Amino acid sequence: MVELNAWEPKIVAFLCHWCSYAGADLAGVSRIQYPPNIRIIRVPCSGAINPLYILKAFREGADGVLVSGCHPGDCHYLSGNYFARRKFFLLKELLIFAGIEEERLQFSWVSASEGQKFSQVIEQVVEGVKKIGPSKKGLKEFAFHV
Amino acid sequence: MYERALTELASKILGEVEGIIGYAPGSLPFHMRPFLCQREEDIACLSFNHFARPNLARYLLTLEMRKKRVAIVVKGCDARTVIVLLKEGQVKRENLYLIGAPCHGMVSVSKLEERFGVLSPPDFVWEADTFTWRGERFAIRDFLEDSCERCAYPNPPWYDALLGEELPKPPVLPGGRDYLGRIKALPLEKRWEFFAQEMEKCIRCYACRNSCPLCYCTECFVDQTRPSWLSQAATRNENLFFHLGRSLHMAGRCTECGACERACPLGIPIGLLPLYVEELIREHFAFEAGMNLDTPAPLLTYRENDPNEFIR
Amino acid sequence: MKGKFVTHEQVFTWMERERGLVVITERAQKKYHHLLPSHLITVKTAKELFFSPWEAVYRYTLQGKTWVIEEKVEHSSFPSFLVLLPCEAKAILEVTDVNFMTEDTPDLGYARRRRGVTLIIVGCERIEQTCFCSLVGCSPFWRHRESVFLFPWKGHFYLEDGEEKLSLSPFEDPQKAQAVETFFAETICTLPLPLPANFPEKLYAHFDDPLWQKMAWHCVNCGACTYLCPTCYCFDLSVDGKLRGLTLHTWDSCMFPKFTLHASSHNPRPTGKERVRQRVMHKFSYFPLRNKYYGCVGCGVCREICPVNWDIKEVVEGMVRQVER
Repeated sequence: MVELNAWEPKIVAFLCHWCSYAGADLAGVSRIQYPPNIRIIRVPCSGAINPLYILKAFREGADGVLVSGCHPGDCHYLSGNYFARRKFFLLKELLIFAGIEEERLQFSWVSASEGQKFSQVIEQVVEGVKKIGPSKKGLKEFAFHV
Repeated sequence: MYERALTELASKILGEVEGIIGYAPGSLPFHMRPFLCQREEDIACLSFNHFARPNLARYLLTLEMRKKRVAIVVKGCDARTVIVLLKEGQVKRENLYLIGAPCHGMVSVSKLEERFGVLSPPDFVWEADTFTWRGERFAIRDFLEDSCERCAYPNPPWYDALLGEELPKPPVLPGGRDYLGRIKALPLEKRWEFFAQEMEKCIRCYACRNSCPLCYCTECFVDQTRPSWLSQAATRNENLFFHLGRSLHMAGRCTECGACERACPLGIPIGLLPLYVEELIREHFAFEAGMNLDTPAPLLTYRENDPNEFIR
Repeated sequence: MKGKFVTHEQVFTWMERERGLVVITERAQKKYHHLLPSHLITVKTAKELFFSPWEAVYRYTLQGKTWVIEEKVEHSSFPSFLVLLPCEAKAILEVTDVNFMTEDTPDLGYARRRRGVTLIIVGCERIEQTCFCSLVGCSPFWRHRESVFLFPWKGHFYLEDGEEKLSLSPFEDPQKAQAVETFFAETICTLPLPLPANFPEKLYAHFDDPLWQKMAWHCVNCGACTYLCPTCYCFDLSVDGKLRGLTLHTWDSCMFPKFTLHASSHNPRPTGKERVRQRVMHKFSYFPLRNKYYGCVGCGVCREICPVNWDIKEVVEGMVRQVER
């Protein structure tokens, strides 16, 4: 039974089509358990993620965001994740600089064969976000209670 | 400052170029304004001093200027902005004539007011590094704008003609270069409190965006409706979204000229966020915007040993 | 003789007592910090109290196949007194009120917040270098019958209409009141003359003047001047949210390219020139032709904060010369 009062974080996961999405799929078909807090958005490549997507996810009420792509060197488009890594690094550091908890935004490299790693990553992300509680910083103020 | 060199140069090149984008005295004391000199009789209006605050590179991007060959007066930071624009293909080198102005730093009117109360122009006599107020001598460096306190490039890295002589690298002012350090030293929650408080003040007039020569998107992401990134309501978090988004758009492009910060009518230190991004880029990607035309922009390239520890 | 006098202490204690109900504008606070309590609630501009930078008008949700729309009504309490400078008061009484409190279609949010607020005008002892109120029919001593007027005069406050509205007990001193009146009249004589009487009509005819291009050249088209202007009242309605969300009523500025963008993608004001012209024409021609007052009160805030020193006074004076030519 689900406890009604227990707060469960909402986590938006941007997964690259070629690796992490397939990794999630593998976790599913292998019946590996992981917390049901994530909402997956499939993207063609981690390099296709505009930092604004991530900010927008926070604004629309995500308590945490996970971005996952292919391991360096394994990108289906050769170097998309290398470009992405620079952007993600800047975004993550900038958010921390602005006073947003580092657990809110997490990144991982998960390949298509790493169903086990995928479930571990999700567990770690959910645990991290649960520790810091619901998101207030960056969330649009007037969305739900105005 | 530089008036003679400026008029001589202007009368020499005015035939070659269709206009000179420079500074002229503004309508209020301690204000200079952008000025487009197109005729012989306008040349006398051109001047330069410690109040030539706006970054003129912005005017290269107006529709009429793009078609013309123009000369432009640039300080160190402005010249770097022009180089970024050249690199991004926004202006053509053959359409440009850069008049470099070695810059002693811009003086902040609010800092003067803080010290001297109501300002009266005749009380002041200005020189390059110092000024006197009612006979008493003061150093310019104690009254610089925040953006100029942290300046590392008083001389334009690139120019066609230079007014005066190149200046030595400015000394590190106490607290000047450490502008970001003060914030970085705070614990996470204090940093959030600081930014939250500043963002609360923002009215989203976009003076920062519009004064920035590198914010030239035909449609800014805040104005987009499909998708709509954020609403028009100037609430704290929406404002933060705008400033974070803008800082990321500026990543590897911002030349730290401080035009955004000086433009802000509410005195919000909005330069902090883009500056921090630039610091990260300097430190981790070994790149500084607007120094030359050859090094590729940091987000258009990569190295295999880029920071990776933050990724699981 | 209308004016009476109160002591500084009387006003100070009254404001201390009513602290939760009194709001002061930042400019008035800056000018009179030595006479008034220092910890009153301040606002950047007077208009933002009534004409909110943003507010939610409707909440909408899609329930099944029907849209459910509820009107949003705020219940927060608002101040009863607003302390401000003459120009800021004129902006409220003769511009934003005129625009939003029309009899047939008042702006409900504005009207709700505006009603019941008494304006306390504190006259200006000193005229700043950015001020040009005398050009547009305002003055450092501008008064209005619906508002209280205070003016610091030799250790006292000269007071008009404050007896009932603030329940202060002033003392009479006809001789001194006469001196104040004389001082007002004399000072006004020394101020620059108002713009020519038929300037709005003449400016209207100069819509296509080539001078606009020249004047608009260095404006960067940010909204700082319009957002901090005490009279600018343009707003936008936008929606936020897909299946459920809010209709937002937010400030807008004629300086922005999207301000007049049509759905067809045609923009009748495509460049800075048209936008700057609109800003000047609206304040100095369209508005006065409709409502007899100028849409500018000469407070000079826009001149002060403009990042590139675009100067409305200079532009208007330039246009006066142009139309007289």
